Amino acid sequence: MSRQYETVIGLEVHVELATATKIFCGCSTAFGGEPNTHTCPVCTGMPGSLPVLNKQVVEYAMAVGIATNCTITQNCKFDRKNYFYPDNPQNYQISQLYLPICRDGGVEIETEEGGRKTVRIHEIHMEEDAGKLIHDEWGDCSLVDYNRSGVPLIEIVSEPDMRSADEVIAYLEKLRLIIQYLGASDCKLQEGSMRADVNLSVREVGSEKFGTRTEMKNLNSFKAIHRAIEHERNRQIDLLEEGKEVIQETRRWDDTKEYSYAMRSKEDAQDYRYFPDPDLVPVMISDEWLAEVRSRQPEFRTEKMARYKAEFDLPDYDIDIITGSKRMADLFEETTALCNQPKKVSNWLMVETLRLLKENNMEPEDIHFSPENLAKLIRLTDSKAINSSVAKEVFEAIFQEDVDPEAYVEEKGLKTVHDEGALRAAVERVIADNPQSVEDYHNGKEKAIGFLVGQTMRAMQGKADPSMINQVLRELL
Amino acid sequence: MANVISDETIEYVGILAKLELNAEEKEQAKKDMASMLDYIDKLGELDTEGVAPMSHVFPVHNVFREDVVTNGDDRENIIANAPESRDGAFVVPITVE
Repeated sequence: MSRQYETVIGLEVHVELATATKIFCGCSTAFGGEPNTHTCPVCTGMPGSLPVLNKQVVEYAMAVGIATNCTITQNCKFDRKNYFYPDNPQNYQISQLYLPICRDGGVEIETEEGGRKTVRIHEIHMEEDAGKLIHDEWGDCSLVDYNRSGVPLIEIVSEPDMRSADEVIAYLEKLRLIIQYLGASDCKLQEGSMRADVNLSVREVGSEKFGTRTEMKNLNSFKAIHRAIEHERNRQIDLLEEGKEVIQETRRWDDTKEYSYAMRSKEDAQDYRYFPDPDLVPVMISDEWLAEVRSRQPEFRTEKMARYKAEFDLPDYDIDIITGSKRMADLFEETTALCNQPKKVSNWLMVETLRLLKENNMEPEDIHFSPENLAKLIRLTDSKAINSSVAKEVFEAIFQEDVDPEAYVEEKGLKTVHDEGALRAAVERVIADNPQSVEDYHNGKEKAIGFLVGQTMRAMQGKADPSMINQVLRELL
Repeated sequence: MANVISDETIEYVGILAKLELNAEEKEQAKKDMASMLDYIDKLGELDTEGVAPMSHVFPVHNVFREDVVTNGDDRENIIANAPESRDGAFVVPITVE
C-alpha cells in the first residue's frame, strides 16, 4: 500500500435507562417476561392511547448530560420519526430531533500513546425502544413481542473524533463507567442495555475532507467492536486502492463469521419526515430543577480514586481496578464500612474475586454476593476460626451462591481445630510415619518441613492453623 | 394553483406512506396536495418576525408520570387486537433485515 490512510470514527450509543417503567406508560421494564405480558394500549400503538412522560427518564438524561459536560436544553420537546417496521407498532418512534435534551459535551479519554484527548458529544436525546421480532423457524411468519417497546433509551451521538478501535473502546468504557456510577443503566453490551453503532470512513493522511462513511450495527461486545472496525477500515481502503467508491450504507456485523454485509439499499431512502409530537407537551427544565439534579450527582471515579488513597491508603493498582467498576467500588465501600479492614477487603476483590470472574467469564457488574457475607468471612479469618485455604473455599461458595459463611463453616465442619492435644497427636504420627523427611530436615533441608506441615494438615482434614502446626513440628523434631 | 406536484413526488410520497395508487388516484392526490400546500402558503404572508417558534398549541408543559409500575399483565386483551396471534405474540408477515 503506497498511500497512508487515517480512520475517522463517530459513535451512536444507545443506553437503556434503569427505570422501573417504560418511557410513556406504566408498564414494567423487567427483562425476560413471557411475550407481551408487559404491554398496554400505549406501547402497542393502539389508536386513541396517549403517552405520558416518565419524569425519571428526564432526570437520568439530565444527569448523564451534566456528567458528560453537555449544555442542557431547558426547553425541549419530542418529535415523531416515521417509518414502517413491525417492531414499531405506532409506525413512528417518539424521539427528539429539533431540541434534544443535551448538546455540545465531551469526555476525555486516554490514547494508546498515553496522551489525552477529548471526544466531543454532539447531542444526547431521549427516545423509546422498539419491540422484538422472533423469526419463525419454518419461515412462514414472524412473531412480535412488545415487552421492550417503549423502554426508555438515551442516544449519545459523538462527533467523528475517534481515530482507532482503541480510542473507540476507551470512549465506550468511559461512557459506561460514568453511566454506571450514576446508576442510570447497567450498560451491558451482551444483553443490549448498551449498544453502539459505528460510523466509519477513511481518508488519506493530511486530507481535510471526510471520506464516505458507512454505519455498522449489531456490535455486542468490545471484542466485536474492535474486530468490526479493523475489518471495515480494511474493506474501505481496499475499495479505494482498487479505484472503487465506498457506498454510504448501513452494514450488519456478523461476529462469528467476522464479516459485514449491507443491510439497507440506497434506494430505500431514509426519509423519516420528523415532526413535533402533538400528544406530548414541552419539557421545561427550570434552573432550580437543573441545580437539584446537579446537586445529586454522585462521586465520580477521579474523586473516588483520590479519596481511596487518602482514606484507605490502598496501592494505586488496587484503586485503579476497584474504581474501574461501580459494582466493585460499592462492594469495597460497603464491606469496609462493616469490617473496617480496607486492605483485606481489597485483597479479596483483587485476587479471588478477579480470578473467579475470569474463570466464570463474568463482568464485575455480574457480582451478586453481599458485603455482609464478605465482611463475615474476613471476621472469621481474623479470629483464626478458619485458616486461609478454608477461607478461599468458603469465599467460592459466597461468590457463587452468596452463602452465609458462619452457617456454611458450621454446616461443613470447616472450623480450625484449636485442640492442641489433637494437633500434637497428629504431628507425632506424621513424624513417626515419615522418617526420611525427618532426617532430611535434620540434615538442613528446610523444604522437608513444608512436606511435614502438609501431611499434618491432611491428617487434620485441612482444619488446622498452619502457623500452629509449624510451631509444634519444630518443637517436636 | 400556485403549487404543482410532480409525478416523481407523488410516487415518492406513495412509497413513504406504503400506498399503492392507480393513475386516477395519483392525479387526484397531486391536486389535493397542491391545494394543501397553497393553503399553507397563506401562512407565509404573515409577518412572523420576532415570534418564537411554537412547539405546542396548548399553554401546558411538564406533564409527567412518576416511575411506578401501574400496569399488570393484560396480554389477553392486548393480543385480542391482533388479526392473528401465536404463543402470546402478534403474527406478522415474515420480516428479515
